[in-house]
Amino acid sequence: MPPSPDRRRAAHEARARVAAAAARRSRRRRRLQAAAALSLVGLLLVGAALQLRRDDTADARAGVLSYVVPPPSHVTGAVAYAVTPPVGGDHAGVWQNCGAYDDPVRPEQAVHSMEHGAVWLTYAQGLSNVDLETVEAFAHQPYVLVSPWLGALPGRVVASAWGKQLVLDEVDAPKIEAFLRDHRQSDSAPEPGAPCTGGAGEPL
Amino acid sequence: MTQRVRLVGIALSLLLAAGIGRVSAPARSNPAETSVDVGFARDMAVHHAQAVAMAEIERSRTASVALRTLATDIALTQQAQIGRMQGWLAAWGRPLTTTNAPMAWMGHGGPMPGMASPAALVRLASLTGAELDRTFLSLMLAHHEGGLDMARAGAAAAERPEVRALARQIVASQQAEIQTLRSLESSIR
Repeated sequence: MPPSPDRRRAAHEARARVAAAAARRSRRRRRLQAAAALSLVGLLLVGAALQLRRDDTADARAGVLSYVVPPPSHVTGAVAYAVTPPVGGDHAGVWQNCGAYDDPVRPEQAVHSMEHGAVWLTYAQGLSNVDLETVEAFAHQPYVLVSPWLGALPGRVVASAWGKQLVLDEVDAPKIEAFLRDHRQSDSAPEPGAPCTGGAGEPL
Repeated sequence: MTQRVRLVGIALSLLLAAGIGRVSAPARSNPAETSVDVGFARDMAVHHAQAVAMAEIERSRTASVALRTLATDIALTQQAQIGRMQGWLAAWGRPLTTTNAPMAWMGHGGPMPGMASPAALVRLASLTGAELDRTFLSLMLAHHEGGLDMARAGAAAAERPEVRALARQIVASQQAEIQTLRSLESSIR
């Protein structure tokens, strides 16, 4: 027996409600999809913007301090540097040849080496033999200067480049390597292409 | 297609677009033959080469340790920068040299500023002692002042950030070197 008009209308209304609910769910899903797509685009844009600031924050996260160094002059005699060990500034006319030294080197010459892109590793007195070997091994690489520091050093070993410094409480080879990778012959060294040989000193 | 498939599809195509954007950004088109970048790289390399030549003459003939050190510094630094600029030209697929007159990229033709004549270099190579040192310093000062003009123009107008960066570094280091040259000059007189 066919359904009564009331039953047909009820069924029709039920179907309409189901259809309306489905339509609402569908619209909601489309809105969610649109929101998800826009969020994704937004995240990508923010990510791109953050990438531009990566260098500064990456340095800070690695514990590397950044300094602004005014344009340097060649001077004779001693210089009173603002940072210990120095990260740049006025310096001697001759640079310190890169390599490892048993005795302290003149900071005014080492600063000239850093102007040429060298990284200067200074270590405190009383380093263990193992630690000393680890630090001096870096001097086999180009554009690395290694020497002991007389007087108070802020850490056990300090890695300095022009305008950059990493103070380490222990001889941490991976951290020194990372500093070399990021700051040796970097764009912050004022004289790209300048030599670290042909200057003063006979390294070990 | 289910809603989930569509959502995944949208996400994937956005990531793909971002990936393509990141990869293709470095592969931007190379500077044109008439660009400031190409003109600067070519002309500055030639300009630097004369500084290297003068420094080599001074380095081999001077009795002054200070001047020998300075000449070594200038020669090696500027030669390395020639290498960098010619590396760019090679990567851009541009010839290292041109038969056109220099300086068109700076908006005017004519010789490069501060260049010494070939005769001046021949004369320098015949000198010794204080006269050699004075002449070297005088030639190198003029050379640096000219190089400064070119580097300033390159720093202002080149399209590639690495070209502008090197030009800025040349401005800074040659400005400092001019002070060194001047103080050496007055100490010889």
